[in-house]
Amino acid sequence: MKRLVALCLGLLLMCGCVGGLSIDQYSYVIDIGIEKGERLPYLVTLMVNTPSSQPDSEGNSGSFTVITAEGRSLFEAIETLAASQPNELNFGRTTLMMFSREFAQDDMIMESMDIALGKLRIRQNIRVIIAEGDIKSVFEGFASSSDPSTNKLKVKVTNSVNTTGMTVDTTWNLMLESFENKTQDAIVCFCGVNQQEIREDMVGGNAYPYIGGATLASGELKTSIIGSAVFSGTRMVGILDGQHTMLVQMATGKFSQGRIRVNYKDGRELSVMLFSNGAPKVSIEGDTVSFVISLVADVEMPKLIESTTSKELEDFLAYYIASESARVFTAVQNADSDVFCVGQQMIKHMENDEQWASLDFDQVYGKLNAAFTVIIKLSHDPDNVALE
Amino acid sequence: MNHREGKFGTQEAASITTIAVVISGIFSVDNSSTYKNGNMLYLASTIALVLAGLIFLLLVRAMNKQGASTLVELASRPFGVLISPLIIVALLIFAVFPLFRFLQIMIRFIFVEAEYIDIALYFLIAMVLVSSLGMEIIARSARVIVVIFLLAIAIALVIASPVYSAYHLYPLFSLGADEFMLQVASSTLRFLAPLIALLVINRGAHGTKSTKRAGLIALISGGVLTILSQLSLGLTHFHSNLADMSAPFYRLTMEVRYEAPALRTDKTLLFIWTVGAMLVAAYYVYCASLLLVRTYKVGDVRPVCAIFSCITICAMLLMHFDSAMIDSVVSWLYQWGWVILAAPLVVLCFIGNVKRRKLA
Amino acid sequence: MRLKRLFAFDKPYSEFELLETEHGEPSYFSNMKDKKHSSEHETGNASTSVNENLERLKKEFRGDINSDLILRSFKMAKKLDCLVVFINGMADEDQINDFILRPAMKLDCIDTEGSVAEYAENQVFQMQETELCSDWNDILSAISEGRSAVFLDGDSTAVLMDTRGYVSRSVPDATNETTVLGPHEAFNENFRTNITLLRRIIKTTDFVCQIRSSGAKNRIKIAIAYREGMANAGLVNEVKRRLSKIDTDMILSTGTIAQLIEDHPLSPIPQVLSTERPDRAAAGIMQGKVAIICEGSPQVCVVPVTFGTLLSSAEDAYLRRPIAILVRIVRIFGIIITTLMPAYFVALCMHHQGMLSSEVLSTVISSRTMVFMPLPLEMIFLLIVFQLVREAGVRAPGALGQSVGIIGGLILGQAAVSANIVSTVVLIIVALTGLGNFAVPDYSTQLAIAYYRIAMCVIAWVGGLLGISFALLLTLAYLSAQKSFGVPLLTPYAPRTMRKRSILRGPVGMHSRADDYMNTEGSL
Repeated sequence: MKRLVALCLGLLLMCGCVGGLSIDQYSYVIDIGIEKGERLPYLVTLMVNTPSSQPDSEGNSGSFTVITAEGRSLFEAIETLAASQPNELNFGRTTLMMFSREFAQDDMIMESMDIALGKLRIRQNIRVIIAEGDIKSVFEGFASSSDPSTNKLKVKVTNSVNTTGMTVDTTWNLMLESFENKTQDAIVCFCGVNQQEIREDMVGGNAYPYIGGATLASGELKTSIIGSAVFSGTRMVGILDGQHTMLVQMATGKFSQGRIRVNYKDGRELSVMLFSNGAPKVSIEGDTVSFVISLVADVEMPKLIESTTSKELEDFLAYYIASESARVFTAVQNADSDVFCVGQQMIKHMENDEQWASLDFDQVYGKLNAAFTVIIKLSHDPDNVALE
Repeated sequence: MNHREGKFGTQEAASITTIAVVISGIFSVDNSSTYKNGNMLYLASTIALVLAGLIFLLLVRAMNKQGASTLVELASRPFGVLISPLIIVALLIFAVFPLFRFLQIMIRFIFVEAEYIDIALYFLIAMVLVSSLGMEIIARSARVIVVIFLLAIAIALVIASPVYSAYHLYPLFSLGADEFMLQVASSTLRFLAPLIALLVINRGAHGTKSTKRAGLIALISGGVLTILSQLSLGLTHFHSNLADMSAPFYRLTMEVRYEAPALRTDKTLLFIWTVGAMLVAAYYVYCASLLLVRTYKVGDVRPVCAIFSCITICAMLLMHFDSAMIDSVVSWLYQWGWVILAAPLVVLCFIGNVKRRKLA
Repeated sequence: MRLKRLFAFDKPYSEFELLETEHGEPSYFSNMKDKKHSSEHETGNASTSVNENLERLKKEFRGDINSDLILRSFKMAKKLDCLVVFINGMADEDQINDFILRPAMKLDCIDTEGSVAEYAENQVFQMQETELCSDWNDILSAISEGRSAVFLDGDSTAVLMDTRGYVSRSVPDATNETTVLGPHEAFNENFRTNITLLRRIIKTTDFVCQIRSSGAKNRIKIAIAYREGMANAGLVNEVKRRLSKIDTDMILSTGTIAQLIEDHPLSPIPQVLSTERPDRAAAGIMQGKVAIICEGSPQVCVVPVTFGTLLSSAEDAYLRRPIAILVRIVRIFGIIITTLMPAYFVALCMHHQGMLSSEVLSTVISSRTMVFMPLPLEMIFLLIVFQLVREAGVRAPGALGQSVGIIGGLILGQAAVSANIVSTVVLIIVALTGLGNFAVPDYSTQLAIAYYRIAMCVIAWVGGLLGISFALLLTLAYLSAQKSFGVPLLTPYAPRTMRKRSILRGPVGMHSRADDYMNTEGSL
């Protein structure tokens, strides 16, 4: 037995190191951005974590460096970047992948992502964001000198906005599923360096001017959330502003709370805080898809409450949300985008995979009518005290 | 004769069998063929659980009726000599498949610069040493780690729970009857293999009464956890995505947001599963070795354990070769390999329950 | 001649050389075969002639060189030639004078019918412990251990009397197994005192203390203490069997005995419990274990032992249950930290950097600026230095030992960080590891874990978490394979026993029965 053990331990020496460099011999890529280059097809931007113990003259801790390179292919650009760094690039800590609007609109995401994640060994649950403008500025807008972890800052940016329901949190897993299956189309967070002009979204009409989120222009972070990018298959087809994104979230069950502004019939502008009151019920009957959304509303105008009945207010809000949702649905339907996840309901009616595979979803989807039923309960109504 | 079988209690036997049921049930599945046309694996596994229990009870009943202390004693000596190699091959196949999966995970996700042989040598040494130490040691080690191991599986299911969606399971009954029955058959044998191994070492487990109890406990606890795991895979990913994945269960743990500090547990969980997989591989190798030494009257089980461990690792490395012939053999084994074990079991059940016991 | 002198070497080497006495060459792989020790001393009985016994004793004890041996001839009742033999310093001279020589010399007459030795034992010598013995080896042993032997002319039987009066340490405080609550006494080197300490705790009639020779050439006595009728007879017989097979040159303490009787002497984990506390030894004996007491050793071996016993402290039994549970949890946490933390950190830094949070990553990288050693080597170096400081602190006398710890820990560590030899993060981890090491109550297990974690660091360097999991599996299998006198080391975890509480301490009332794995013949 002792000889067997000795032989095995000798064999262990043949295993060798399973590879890897030490912790301080890597440059850690936190974010990766891909867009169209000026001279070459691809422009890759990396935000690299290079911690140092001494702050520089500007008081920065020297934690993050944003580097860019162009290349004929994605890997050529990354190799150019790797060669410019003293340490080897490590993509094991990459948590964000960003694409420019043009890149997404030109249907270039699927091909690059497939290669990137496979070869670079990036985790499958990284967050995906579409950016307006050049990605380098957006990355620099994420960095802060006071905190070595941009991860937390990104969480603050997106999660705090998520709590307002005005954007979405999409991972590559979800995007891949939407690219490869017909069950849904991707809706992805859309951000940019803070700008003041009003953005028009694909729904049009009464666009809600939403700028930033919890992080405003005067804050330390320059990058802010604008709304969401809508995809049809692998191609970006439009933008939704914050409020329209919130309506999509309500219909797909990903809404928890958020604030809307509505113009009441007497001309007053109401600020209404909405809370989800259960998962929406979605069903397809014939050529109609029905959404039943249940919400709790907190209207922040006590004088209004005195001058009108709760039922009137509830009906008004329900009508407003339903009609706006229908407008959003029509807009995305016209762009062949299924961000309302109608496919997820349609597949439940299929008997087998062949039937689903043979279904011309785009054609069927294009002919569907949407019916939105919104049930509002006012939180201040004495009858609804139990909701509090 | 140095068989190193030793004696171990019901809890120890149940522990190693439970871990083996879970490892075989989750990590021995060929994703590309199983999920190609739809996901009904969790349903097939539910039926398979019941079938495996029935077959196991039949075998135990047969052993009691015939007074056999181990499985192969059910058959007469010449027939036992013919059946034993099939069971040995089947047990070694069940040792190879989970290790192959873990090797894939290591190379794909963890040690991207390593060679296959580097990782495989760790598995080999663990298998050789642990299986050579004997069944007592394997069973006791399993008793120590069983709770941690089951918790590690359960935590993975909890981590992925925020992304469960029922629509991923649809269409619910997408497979044809023949394909579904094939899945039931292969799932049954995946559940049954650890129980067969338990019956091979029946003597060490203090006889059929303890073995029956241990086997049923393992089948129910391990089987339920396996079915829950398969269900959670189905709730997390669409079947076509599952078919393309090499390690969907490991991917469950990656659903967590990376920034959450308490949830950077994917690698920790993976290595707890790896310890379980190495222990289970040693268990299968030991049982196959014991069967061989008993059938062919070899004196010492340790050299056979070492040889079978080497064969297992070589087979595992061969599965990574880019060869059409090997790929077709592997696909056949995944799809029809259950036949290797099914045939002798059917015969043993028949012989054991129908044949009259010859009185001395 | 000149030519010869020219090429000749210098003068022959005149220093002492230890010349070879064995024949042949040792083989490459196997150990030298054990030589059968021949008994130095003759067997047989004493002579009836006092003079013959005198000469024989002089020869045996090298009386011409050995001035410690006192051979006092005297006449009993003015006519019978007698000889009292004892070793100066081992025997109490006052007892010999007052209770042997004086009564014998003052006697008027002797009843010479029957055995003279019996007459002297019953009527003359006024000692509380006497024994008649004619076996020469036993007489020599008795003299060697401090007793006195009186030879009487015409009788081959000698009267052995307990006149031991050598100087020894008083009952000390426990230094290695200290407790806040509970007794503070510890064993010392006095054989009789150690047995007495046990008897003061175990006052049952079935408590047996069998004294026998250890089997070593230095004739050390050992005592096997157990409860007759409670301890499993097979266990007791096995202990006696293993002790009877001892045939070695010398035994100086229970540590030697433990290595000679253990199931796996090469194992780093001990299979006997070495304790300096009488209460701990007594608790084991009460539960059906066997204690081995060795003359001249302040530790007692208790067998069999389990891994849980090695990791539990005497104080666990004296604390209130909730507190004892918390203390155990902290101890287990400390053990896990000390065993795994260095290796886990090395694995994360070398292979799995993604598992570290951004703050930790930044801290580690920035602390390693200008450090030239690779991180795993740095960790191993510091672990070895820690062991060095610990050894120096133990070996350095008195107050200097404490200073060594301070110098090594604080000043050397700080200087090493300033000189960029090591980084602060690694230093903190090694310090925490060292603290956790002292949470292990058993000294041998502490040392085993101290060197085990260095091996774990190496395997983590090479294989990352895969190496750690591989090593843990092999360690678990190894521990599962260890047995202590037939009891698996991992009892009651594996194999599971009837004991309700494995890790956390049960209520005191549960001590109504002995541990299931002891297979005792009686109950408490």
